[in-house]
Amino acid sequence: MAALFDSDEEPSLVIGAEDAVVSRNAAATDLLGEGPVRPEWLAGGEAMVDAADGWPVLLRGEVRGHVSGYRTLRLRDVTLARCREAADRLTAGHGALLAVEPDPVLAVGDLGRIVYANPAVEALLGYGAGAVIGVRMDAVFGRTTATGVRGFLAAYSRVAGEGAALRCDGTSVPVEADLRRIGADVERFIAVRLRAPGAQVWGPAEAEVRLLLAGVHDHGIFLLGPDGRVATWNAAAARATGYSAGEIVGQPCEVLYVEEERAAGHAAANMARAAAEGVLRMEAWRRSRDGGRFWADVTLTALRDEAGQLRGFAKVLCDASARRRAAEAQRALDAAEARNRFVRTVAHELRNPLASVKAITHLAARRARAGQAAATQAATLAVLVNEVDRLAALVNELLEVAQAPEVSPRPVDLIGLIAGIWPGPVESTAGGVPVAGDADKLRTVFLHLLANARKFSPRGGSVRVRVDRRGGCAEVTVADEGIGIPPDELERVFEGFHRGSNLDGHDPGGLGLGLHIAREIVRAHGGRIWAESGAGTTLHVELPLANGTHPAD
Amino acid sequence: MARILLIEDEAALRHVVGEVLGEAGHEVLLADDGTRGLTMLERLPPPDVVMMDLFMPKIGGRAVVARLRANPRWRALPVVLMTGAVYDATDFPPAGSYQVLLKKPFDLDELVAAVTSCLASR
Repeated sequence: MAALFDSDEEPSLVIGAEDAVVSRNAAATDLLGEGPVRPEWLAGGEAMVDAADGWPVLLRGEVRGHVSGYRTLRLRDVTLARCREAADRLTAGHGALLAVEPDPVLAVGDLGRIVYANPAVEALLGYGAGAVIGVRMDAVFGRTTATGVRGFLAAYSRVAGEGAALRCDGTSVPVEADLRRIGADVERFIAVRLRAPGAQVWGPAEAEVRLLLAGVHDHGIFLLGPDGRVATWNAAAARATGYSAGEIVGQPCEVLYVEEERAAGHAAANMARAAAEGVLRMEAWRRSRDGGRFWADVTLTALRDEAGQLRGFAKVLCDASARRRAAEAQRALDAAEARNRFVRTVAHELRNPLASVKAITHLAARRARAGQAAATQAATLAVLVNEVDRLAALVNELLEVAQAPEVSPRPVDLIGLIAGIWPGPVESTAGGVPVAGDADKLRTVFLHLLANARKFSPRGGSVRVRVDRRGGCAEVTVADEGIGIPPDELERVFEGFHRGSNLDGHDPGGLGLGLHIAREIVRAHGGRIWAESGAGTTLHVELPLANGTHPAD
Repeated sequence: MARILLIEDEAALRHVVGEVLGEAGHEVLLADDGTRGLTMLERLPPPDVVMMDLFMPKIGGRAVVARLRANPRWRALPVVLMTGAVYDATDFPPAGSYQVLLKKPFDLDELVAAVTSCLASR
């Protein structure tokens, strides 16, 4: 197996079937311990893990040749490279401004390492230009742990205190430190401002703000004046919209709105809402410089001074087009999967009676050829008639599902409607229970409920039907004395194709779609339906009373 | 002439398959679900063939087959599975644990042939 490791210096692992680790060399054990292999590495990607010393490292996997089913996974530590990339990004826009900042200011990223330091830091700690990038936080601040860094980044916090910072040469220098978390969800840093004890007050917080704005690389963040004109612009905003700062600063933010929203005056309306409510979050189409559209996730926050005067707006804008496309694709997949499942279930449900019909007709034909007595034919044909009826009922149920439960509301008295389809008594204390609805659709609802109640009632058991007013609603209850519904199935009975687990081999027939159809119609009427089970089952339907009927009349 | 245990929850199908196999000269024991089928297997002398539906309430065909194959007394019993389901590997017993798969709706000749082939393979 050792031959599979192409170098003993580089951390390497031998991967066998089903991505199982077959063996690992000493360097890999030093780095990972017995820790598992991340799937990202096997795909040639990067993943962050905690090294044996507890500090996170970023590793990139590289899969080497296959030797009779085994692969070699070599891991490269790209921690420093990532820190340098972050440093370049943070320095790119605002490095010049931070360079002249008198206070030493540095930033620590999620790897627990320094990703930005201004020249004042290098001077204080004695590092050469750029050499402090990638240095672990505990190498400067002593007792710091990876867990501490993680906790600080997880929840906003700010800590200030006195202590000592370790210099490059191992000596220490007394400092006061002010640590705060900056950055958005996507990328967070700990910004650290240092100064010698007893020095003048902290300088302005602008350094942190500049770090924050530059560091956020997938959220456009910019300010608008109270008149809606763009006042500042960051690199991510430029990337998302195509406008450079020079082109857009001073322009009304309306230029980012799509034509129809601009015509409808949405830009002014949104600012008015943000001014009134403090903050406005929305997703909408926005227009980029080339005239194209992108789906934007926007947060607009009103900025007020201490006197409460509106000073402008902060706008955070994120191109959510990819997210929207992904959500749409997922919805289409889900719909296709649901449709396939439906068709498979229907096919299965139809094949059972079809199998009986086919077998019986073949048997009848065979007996007819043999000239057998009509009496045997009659018994077999009775079964056939039954099965054909069942098939027809299944097809009807299917068609009811296919019908959109659109409602053309008219006043309907529920007592009269139910009395028309139920031979037994309809109990009520109200003179009439009017709802606005589609009489045919509502009749279908109660036909299904009543048929169900009868189907699951024991011989001689009674079904009680009540129609009443409760608050502003009409409530219909249908109670049977049957076997009831197990508690964990009370909601599933409305999902369609449900078969009770307590039926004891008794097939109730049908596709189990009746209650599903009833629920869809009730919902389309703005009502709700639920089941209750104790001794028997009680189904409740609640529908809003027709407009203009007072609950008490 | 063979003894056949038919486990099928569809009453009409149980009736007609029972008649057809009866007319073909077989003795047919009827069970309307997996639990009753297993009880009959325990209490009666073993049949020559077991025919069963795949989807049944409580104990389905997949579980019945598993129980048969786990018991030395029934391990060699030929099994004919009947189903109207669209093939879905997770619902089926493992290949090799049953002898014939009859897809619903089936012909009477297919039904009789399934039994005959099971008897011949014993």
